[in-house]
Amino acid sequence: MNYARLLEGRRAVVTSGAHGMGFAIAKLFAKHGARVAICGRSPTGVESATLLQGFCPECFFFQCDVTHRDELDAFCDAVLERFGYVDTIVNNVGINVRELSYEVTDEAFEAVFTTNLKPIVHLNRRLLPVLIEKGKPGSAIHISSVHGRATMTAMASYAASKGAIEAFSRAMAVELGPYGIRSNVVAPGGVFTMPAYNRILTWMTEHPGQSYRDEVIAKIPLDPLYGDAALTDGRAEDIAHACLYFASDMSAYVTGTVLMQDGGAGSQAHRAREFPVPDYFEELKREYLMAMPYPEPGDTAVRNTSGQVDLHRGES
Amino acid sequence: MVLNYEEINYERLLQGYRILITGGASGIGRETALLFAKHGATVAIADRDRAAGRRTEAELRDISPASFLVVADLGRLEEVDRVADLVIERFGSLHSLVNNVGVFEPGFLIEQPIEALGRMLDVNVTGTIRMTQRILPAMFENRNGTLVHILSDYCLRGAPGVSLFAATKGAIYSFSRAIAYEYSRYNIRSNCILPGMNIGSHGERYIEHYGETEAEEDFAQFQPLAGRGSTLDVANAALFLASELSRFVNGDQIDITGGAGAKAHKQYRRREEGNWKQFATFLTVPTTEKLQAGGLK
Repeated sequence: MNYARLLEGRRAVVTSGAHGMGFAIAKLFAKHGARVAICGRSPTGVESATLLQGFCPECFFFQCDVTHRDELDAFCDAVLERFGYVDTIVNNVGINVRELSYEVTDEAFEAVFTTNLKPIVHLNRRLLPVLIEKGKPGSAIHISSVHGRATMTAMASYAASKGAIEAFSRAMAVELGPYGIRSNVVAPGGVFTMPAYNRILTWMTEHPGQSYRDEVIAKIPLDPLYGDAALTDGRAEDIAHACLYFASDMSAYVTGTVLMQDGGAGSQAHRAREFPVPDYFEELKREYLMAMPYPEPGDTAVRNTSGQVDLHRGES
Repeated sequence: MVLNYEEINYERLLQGYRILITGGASGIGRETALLFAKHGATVAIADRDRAAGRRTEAELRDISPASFLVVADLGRLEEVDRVADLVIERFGSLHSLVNNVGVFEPGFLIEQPIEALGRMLDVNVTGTIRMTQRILPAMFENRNGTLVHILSDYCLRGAPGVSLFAATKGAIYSFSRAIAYEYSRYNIRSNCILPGMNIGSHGERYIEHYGETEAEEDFAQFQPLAGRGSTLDVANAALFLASELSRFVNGDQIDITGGAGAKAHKQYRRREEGNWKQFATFLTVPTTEKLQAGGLK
């Protein structure tokens, strides 16, 4: 096994792979030798694809809205035409509408399931028969959420859709196992991607000229009493590493499983008021926080068409 | 330790790590030790089997010259302490502990003497917890550490003839989640690997007893993936969990069973009465051999 090129020769699809977690996954896959097709709603995905092509020239971006069947079909056509077949599928696309379980509207419920679950089903229909016919092994990875297991207030539709993804993945594992095609779920908890970023940008507009790192992060009281089990937030790259594990032959005999990416919070019964804390904890935590890619004054943030933010460092 | 994702060397994921693997002389432990050494780690293995241990030690030293073996029975507390003292003395500080050692004494609950539980408790539970208790503080200096417990998928799912073993492995499964939070502030993570029954020596014994065809047929009842898992599959999961690749994974497990956890209605083919006896024979024969080989009663 060549650990520097774990996905040599693989042909991968990452939905919503132009930004955030999806892009981190696509980039790591390309770095490990896979040709990767990414899709997304924003045309800025072309720039993401250019970065991927630096690792593997066959990578490409296809602009589409996965909730529209014809657009998703067009994406599948493009991928099959260019790659011939796909042996690695990362179902990353997802949305969240926050409503209480007894106030969920039909529109929101349908929107969540149409985005979070239906593209998985349709990608399966289009891509897996081709792979099975080729007789090649493969791996499907679904990005779920800790909310698929244990959730919080006003997450009902989202939690249900993520739980459904886990069950769907198990069904895939059972049916596709005999063909050597595996299916696993990565369930992220608090990961520092767009929503966190957007909150910081909002703070920056409210506090012009101030550094979030200096004014907020540096002043976070490092009180271990009320932390969760994670030492700090997860990064998109951590999720990408789990996907790399599941996509590669490192996990050749692992299918139908769920890997939580939450720093351990989901495995705990309750918080604790007292537990051992090392004298180096404050230093360690600060090191972590200071290494986070927070925007600084002088950076320009541009909201793109998909509602996400592109950051231009040091430009004004 | 702040991770620079751009600079990870995927061929040397454990570069400079000092790691103790219990029961590392053969099977899963040996495979893990060799893989870790290839990834740049210095590995100490602790095992009761001197001959196999020496062979593995020699293989390890070809890759990672400072690696070494400690011969010890990890079912005895004073021996566990001796291993911990020696390893800490040689290494100074450690980055990872792989709790791999385990004793498997199968049998049906109504037939099994309670003494069988004692031996399994000593090694699988008391020895493992004592080793973790001793090695953990030796990780503080690095501000970074991982605990990997190699258990069994019997932690999650039962099978006839393994109740006592499952109980002891389940103890460490719970133990792992509890310390996951307790030492998170030290940047020490604790995770489990749950290999299925057809991996390593257990699977080999099954095949030996029933023959290849029959055994394969039985395995297919349990998991959707064709074929058997290998010790390398377990070693790779251990590599993922011991390295910074799993930086945000804590108190969790990786189930290496070819999808047994996803499949409902697993059925033992040998449900007919006569064959139950045969199954029982399989369960008891290797244990007796092992006990005699180890000079234990």
